[in-house]
Amino acid sequence: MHRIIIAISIALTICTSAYSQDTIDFATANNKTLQYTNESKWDSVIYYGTLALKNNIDYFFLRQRIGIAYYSLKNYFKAIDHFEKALQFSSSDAATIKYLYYCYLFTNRENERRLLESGMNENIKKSIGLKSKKIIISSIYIEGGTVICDNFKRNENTDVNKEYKFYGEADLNNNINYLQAGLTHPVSKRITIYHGIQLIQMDKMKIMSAYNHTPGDKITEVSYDSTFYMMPPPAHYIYDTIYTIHQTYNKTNHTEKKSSTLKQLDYYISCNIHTKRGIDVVPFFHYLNVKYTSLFVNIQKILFNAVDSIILHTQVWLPDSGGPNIVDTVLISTNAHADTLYTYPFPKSKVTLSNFVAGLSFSKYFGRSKVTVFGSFSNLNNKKQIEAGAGIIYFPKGNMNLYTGGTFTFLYEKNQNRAVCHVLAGFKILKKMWIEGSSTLGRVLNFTENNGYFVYNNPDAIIFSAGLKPIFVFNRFDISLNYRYLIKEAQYITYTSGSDYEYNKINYSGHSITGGVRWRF
Amino acid sequence: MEILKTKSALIFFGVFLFASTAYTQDLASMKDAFANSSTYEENMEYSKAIAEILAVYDASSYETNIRLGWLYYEYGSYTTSAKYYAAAIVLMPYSIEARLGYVLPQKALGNWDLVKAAYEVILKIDPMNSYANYNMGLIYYNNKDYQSAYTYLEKVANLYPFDYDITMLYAWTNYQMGKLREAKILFTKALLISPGDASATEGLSLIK
Repeated sequence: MHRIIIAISIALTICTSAYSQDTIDFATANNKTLQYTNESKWDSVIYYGTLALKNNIDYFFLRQRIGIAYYSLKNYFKAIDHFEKALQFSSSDAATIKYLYYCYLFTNRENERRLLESGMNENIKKSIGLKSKKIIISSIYIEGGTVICDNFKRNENTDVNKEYKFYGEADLNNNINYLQAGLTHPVSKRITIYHGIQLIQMDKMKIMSAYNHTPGDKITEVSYDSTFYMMPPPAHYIYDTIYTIHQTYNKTNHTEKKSSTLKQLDYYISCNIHTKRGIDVVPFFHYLNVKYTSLFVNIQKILFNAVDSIILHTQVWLPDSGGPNIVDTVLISTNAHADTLYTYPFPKSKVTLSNFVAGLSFSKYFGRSKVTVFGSFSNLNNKKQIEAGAGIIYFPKGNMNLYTGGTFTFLYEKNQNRAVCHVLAGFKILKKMWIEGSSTLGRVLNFTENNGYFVYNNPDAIIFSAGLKPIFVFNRFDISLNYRYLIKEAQYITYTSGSDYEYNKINYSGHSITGGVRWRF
Repeated sequence: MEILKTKSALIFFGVFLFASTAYTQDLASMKDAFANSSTYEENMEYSKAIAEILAVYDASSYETNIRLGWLYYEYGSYTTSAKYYAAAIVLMPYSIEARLGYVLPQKALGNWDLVKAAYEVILKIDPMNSYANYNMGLIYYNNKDYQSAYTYLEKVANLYPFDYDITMLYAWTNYQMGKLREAKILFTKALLISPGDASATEGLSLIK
């Protein structure tokens, strides 16, 4: 009996203490958070502060102390939540504003940082070292690079006709060089505009190989036929000498390889609108003007008399038959068989494409994650594409020291719907250096990403890519280098008959090396 | 019928007597509670003072709410204090005293936006309220928004030209705005109010 009472008492004590650990009054919360803040015991500040919030105790100093605790532990994302809340209680507190400013700066939350800066008074700006003059350009970005491919080396001698010997063509794309530059303009405290131009050059080679039909020798076959007619009189023989003339034709291979340089000029513009609910709305537009010269095939049919017949028709009257002794010869010509032959001339032609991408994205921070949803419409390479997708980046430590994430995109294109998945992870390895690794899976063709900034309008699909990107961040500028390994897939056409054709795939690889500098004013 | 009328009258009288008695008893217990809480407050036994009022607490009573607001403020439970002052404001929306009371715990909690909002409402009800004008001036001065501070302090300086706190703050505001001639006059006046005052002397030395 006593043991039961003791057991129940212990159980009740545990329940009571558990309950009391979940409750806290104002005085305890205030005193503990103040005490531990003064002692720099940040975990304890967070513990008591969080407990106070659970008990509906919420005020400026509490939020500020919790924010400072997270800031000191370098969990800037969490600190932001509490500093933002603190400023709702006291919007002009200089210390909180400064803490929040640095949190935004350390987490690359550029839009929030600008908005906060726009509301600062001169003294706070001065204490942080900010200038209050109005700027027209907040940053300049320049990037250039090259993609070195082995398409020519691997596939230049591909037999595009295969065994069919009609017509085949391959459009090989090889090395790419590009250069881009862009400016960011702060239009208002909530709106920035980025726009830039891009120049791209790509080496192309068009291989066209055709078996043209050309007339060959004529082969004549002679045969005889005779018929005797008794009736009607007079009796006579008809002798036919039949000349059957066969026109042969030859298949002559005509192969041309035309090297050219594709030139592309892009203009990109996007507008970032930071709304009151903390959602970044980004409408974007990307215009592409593509020009190159190439060969094209002009399939011509020829109706051709493969067989002609000439008949020498002779009538011979029998002697003493009473008929005339006439050799009557008539020439009869018939076109016994017509055939269709093909010829493939290669005229040159200039190609100009005017394509565009337009779309919209929405992104917002939720705790330690940034979530984005996006959609776009484009008309790349004379086809129509609709893209929709979502992405997330997660900062597990609440700062930029480690992050990971990815995007998943559906692309709708007539008869060629596909999905592309992009994953990335980055971490800080030195005081001012980060390294980011990424990979893309899926068929990247007529595809756009990063708010339409990157447009993959190359006719060859990227079927796999992976890369590394070291990033160096300094006070006024960032430098990024990017190496990416690509596996690309191209197609060539082979005609299996005069009018039917098939696509054949060829692979090649590429190494993309780029570098960029962003200068901030 | 007569019996029924008599019975109804008796019932009605009984209920009235009961209600009157209850009301009288309520008033009496309230009086006792307030008296006891004052005694406890004088002895700084705030939890007991609070308990006295809580025993007679009525959510619709302005007096109990405002009393609890003050007692909780003295006790240091600022969030609870603010809650009771807010309840008092709801019951008497034009009560300046309730709003001035509300400001006290909010200042202690650091909720300066709520403090400013409360002073702004007070000034809508009573535009010449010296306490609200002075404190708004002080808030803006501390935020280094001297132009806004000046707007409020100019009013109270005209209402209380010989008040030390108002004169000093007004003088420093003028100084920060570069109105050195006016600042000099005000610092000199402050020395009349409080001879040898260190802050006024410092102000004058800066102007020289």
